[in-house]
Amino acid sequence: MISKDTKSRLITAINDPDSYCSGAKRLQLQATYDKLLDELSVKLFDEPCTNRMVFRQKVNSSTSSSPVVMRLKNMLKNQDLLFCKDYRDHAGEIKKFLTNDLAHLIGAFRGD
Amino acid sequence: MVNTKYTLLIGSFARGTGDLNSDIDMLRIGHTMSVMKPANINQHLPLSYVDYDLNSFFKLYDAGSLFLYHAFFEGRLLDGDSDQWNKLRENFVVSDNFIAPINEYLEVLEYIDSYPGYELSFVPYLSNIFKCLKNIGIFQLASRKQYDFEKMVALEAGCGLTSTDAHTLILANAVYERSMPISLQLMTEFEKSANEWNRRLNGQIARLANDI
Repeated sequence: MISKDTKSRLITAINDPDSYCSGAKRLQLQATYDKLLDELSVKLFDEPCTNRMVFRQKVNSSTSSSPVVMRLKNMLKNQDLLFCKDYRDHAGEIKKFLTNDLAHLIGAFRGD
Repeated sequence: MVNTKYTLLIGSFARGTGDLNSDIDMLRIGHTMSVMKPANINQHLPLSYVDYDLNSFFKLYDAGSLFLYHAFFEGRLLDGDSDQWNKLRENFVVSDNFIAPINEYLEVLEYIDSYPGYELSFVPYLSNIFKCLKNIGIFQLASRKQYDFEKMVALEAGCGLTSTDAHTLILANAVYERSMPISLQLMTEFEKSANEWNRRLNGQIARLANDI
């Protein structure tokens, strides 16, 4: 459903969440996440993702009950945690996002 | 200082260059209460908050953060003790070493460049390149004691981009981050631009690294 590269980059972050909570690694994770949304948009809606919010609206209006769509809805609900523009410590929230929301979505691709 | 709270309008609307592609950027220090949009700005534009607790604020203050320089000298204080704020501004000394943040954004550009097929996701690809280059440009200019936070200036004067390239990156980011409507023609333009960037991003990174 998603490219091998995107999947392996996300799994690397999920397996080492502490490193991806700040600095260049966090920005890399944001870029990978954006790539993930585009790949999913092409797969699910046959069109590129031109905007995170619009993509979320499309997913939320989907009536599909497939595990991928259900877990995707959950993940998109919390995606703002990745993009907070402040200096408060969000490490705990980002770690939770990676190890719960994102990991569950990746699991759904494997049929977990 | 324990109960200190400030609210500032920052960014393009504080500079007077905001347009329909801009967010209304607010800096909240010591609080996270919601803020009214200034009456003279289009009320349909999105509010974007940057929040610092006092501890983070003073850490950045002591480090001479470029972002705080921008807040002090371009920002408009909307709420908070103005005498206290002015005193903080008078005593603020901006850092003159921006090698670390420039390297951080260069690292992200290298990551994007080494990501097979990222350019096929052309809107997020251009938007992510824009964010890195804009920040690198701002830091490069500040290294030359030129404190300019305007995205076009950062891309052109800070990174050496042509105005056409800078304009396309700004548009792609406005589409991706601010839901600006996108036409089929613009989509085609982004696709073409993404392919061009894919060919030359490596050279751009090398040039920027050389400028440090």
